[in-house]
Amino acid sequence: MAEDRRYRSRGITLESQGRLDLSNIQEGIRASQTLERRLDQVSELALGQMKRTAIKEGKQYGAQNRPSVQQIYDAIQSGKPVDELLADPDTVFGEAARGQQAGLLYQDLINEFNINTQGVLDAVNKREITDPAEVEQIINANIEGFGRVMAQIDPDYALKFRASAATTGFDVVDKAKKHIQTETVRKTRVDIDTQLNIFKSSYASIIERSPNPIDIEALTLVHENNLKGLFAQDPDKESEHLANFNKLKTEVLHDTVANYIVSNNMMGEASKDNFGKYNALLLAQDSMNPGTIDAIKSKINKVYDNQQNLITKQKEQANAMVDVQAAELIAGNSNGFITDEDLFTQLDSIGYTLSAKERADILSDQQPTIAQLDEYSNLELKVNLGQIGPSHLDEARLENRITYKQAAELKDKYNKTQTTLKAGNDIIYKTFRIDELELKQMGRDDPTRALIAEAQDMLDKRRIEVLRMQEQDPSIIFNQREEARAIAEKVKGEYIQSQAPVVWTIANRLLKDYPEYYNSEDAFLTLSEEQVKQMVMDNDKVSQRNKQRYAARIIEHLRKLKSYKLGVIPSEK
Amino acid sequence: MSAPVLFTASTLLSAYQSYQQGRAQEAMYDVQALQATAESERKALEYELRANDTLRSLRQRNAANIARGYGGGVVGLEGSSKLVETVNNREAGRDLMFDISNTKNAILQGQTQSEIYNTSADIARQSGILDAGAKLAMAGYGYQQIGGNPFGMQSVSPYKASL
Repeated sequence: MAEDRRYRSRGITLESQGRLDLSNIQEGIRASQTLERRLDQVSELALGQMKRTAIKEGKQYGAQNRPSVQQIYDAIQSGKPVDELLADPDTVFGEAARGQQAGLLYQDLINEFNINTQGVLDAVNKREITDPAEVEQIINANIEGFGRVMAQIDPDYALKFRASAATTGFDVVDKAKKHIQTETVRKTRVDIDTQLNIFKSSYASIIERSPNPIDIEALTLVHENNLKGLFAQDPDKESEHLANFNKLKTEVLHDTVANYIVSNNMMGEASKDNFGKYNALLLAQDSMNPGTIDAIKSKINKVYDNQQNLITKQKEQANAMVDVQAAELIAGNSNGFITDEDLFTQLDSIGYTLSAKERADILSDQQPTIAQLDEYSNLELKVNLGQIGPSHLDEARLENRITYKQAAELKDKYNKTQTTLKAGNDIIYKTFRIDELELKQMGRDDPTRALIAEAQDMLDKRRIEVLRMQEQDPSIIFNQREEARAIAEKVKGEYIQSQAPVVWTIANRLLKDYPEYYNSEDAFLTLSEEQVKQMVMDNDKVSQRNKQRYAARIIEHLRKLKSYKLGVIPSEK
Repeated sequence: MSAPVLFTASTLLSAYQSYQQGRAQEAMYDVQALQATAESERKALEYELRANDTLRSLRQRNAANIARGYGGGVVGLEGSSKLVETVNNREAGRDLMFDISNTKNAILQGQTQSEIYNTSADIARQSGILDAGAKLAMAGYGYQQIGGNPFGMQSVSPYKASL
């Protein structure tokens, strides 16, 4: 086969050499990105550090340049923007400074709020506020007012303030309500007592004037309804008040009828169930309350007996007076101030009868023996100390241990010692660590003054009580020194026991920021006034302008408590 | 091991790792550059072989053409035989020239790619060094910011720890 002489093109053309791998560009980009990332990190690190520094400095600035609450109030009142007093929150520094300022102002406002609420409670305790609604209104106004101020400074802190203040406020309102409620009940009870006393005299007068059951009911209806309305204001004791009221009516009726019968000398008639003008009333009462007539009869007997006793006592007292005067006269005669003749004349004029022996003793010039003089000295000391009385002196005279004249002198001394309570009063002053002059300088409301008056009154009552007992048993002695000491200690002790816990409760409330002393009375008592001042100065929670007042309050209670612990009642001057 | 020592060791290791990463990348690009050169030379050789084949085929065709001319009583180097030869030469010449160009292009492409890879290798190495340096700088700055007790180990504070 012949070979092809033609060359045919094999279709070769310029071939593509493929795409270049531009790895240099990619690598360049990658390297650039890595470097950029790394540089970003460096920038962030540096920026973070700058931010931290700015925050720290901002906080320092905020603490050192914070406006006072008063400045904020003034700005609000004068219509100036509060923002001007505070740091600009648009920078990191400003934001930190503002946060610090807001935090400190928040604390100031909380402190001020707490002081105000305490003031409200004090006012409630002093009865300057008597309406729970008023307490609520004041607390709400405080929360609202302070809350608005805080809202202008920092809304977050405003919310926090409202939450915290609402909790405290609720407690205060609750306490105030309970206190006012207790006070109201107490006042109601005092009113009830007063009204019952008024009713008592009014009811007696009505029974006397109009002893007709229908008239009595008509005349007392309004008063009775008023009283029942008053009883209803004390629901816990309403039934007790009602029972007391009915008892009082019965007593008044019985007393009035009994007094009428006794004073008109109608005991004989009464024993035959004739009570004169009260017949209709008593029959009506007896039909409603069987046994009334019998009870009244018994009452009449008691009234009569009392009247007789009274007459007897009056006679005895008159005799005692004569004895006292006679003793003074005989003592005067013994000392040579009164002649025998004058003595007999004056004794006759006061109705004092001398026995023949007594007359002979007076006229006798016989001097006391040495033994009688010794016994006289011994008995005189006892009389001065209040250890013996007239019966002991009579006994000594009858046993001839002393002469008649000596006995009369000692009786006179006894009478003079017992008619004054100076010795007892001096002991009361000593117990209260005070003298008469200091007492006169004290204010009218000073508790010590009232307590001394109470102790003196108790001593006087005790003296009267012992004098009555002496009528039954002349050997009973009124030792006014012992009595005065016991009474004064009792009065003082009871007062301190009631007041010390109150003072501690108030002090403890003021100590809640100081855990070392809170709830620890003993630890609190170890504090000095200087330490208290320092403690309050160091407390950041108390605003600068309140520090002094706050410290003064704590110190006041510390002084009182220390004083009570020493058994001394602090002066209110 | 104390925290500062651990911190220093880990920072140095991390920086060294960045440096080594750059070096590895560089080595990889160096290999790729060599591969690109080798590949282009292989392709150039293929084109050269094909060009030789074209030349050989042309000579065979032209020889056959002359032989046929003389065999047919025609002068082999004139007339139609000459025409055929001319056409053959033109056709084969075109194929040959293309392959020569392809050979040159393959070599050029290989060289270019190789250069690119060399550049990439340089960038990778430099990037590794820079990254390692930046890491060391950052660590140093961070360590400096921690701060410490300027009075040494002895405390000068009068306050006792209460908690």
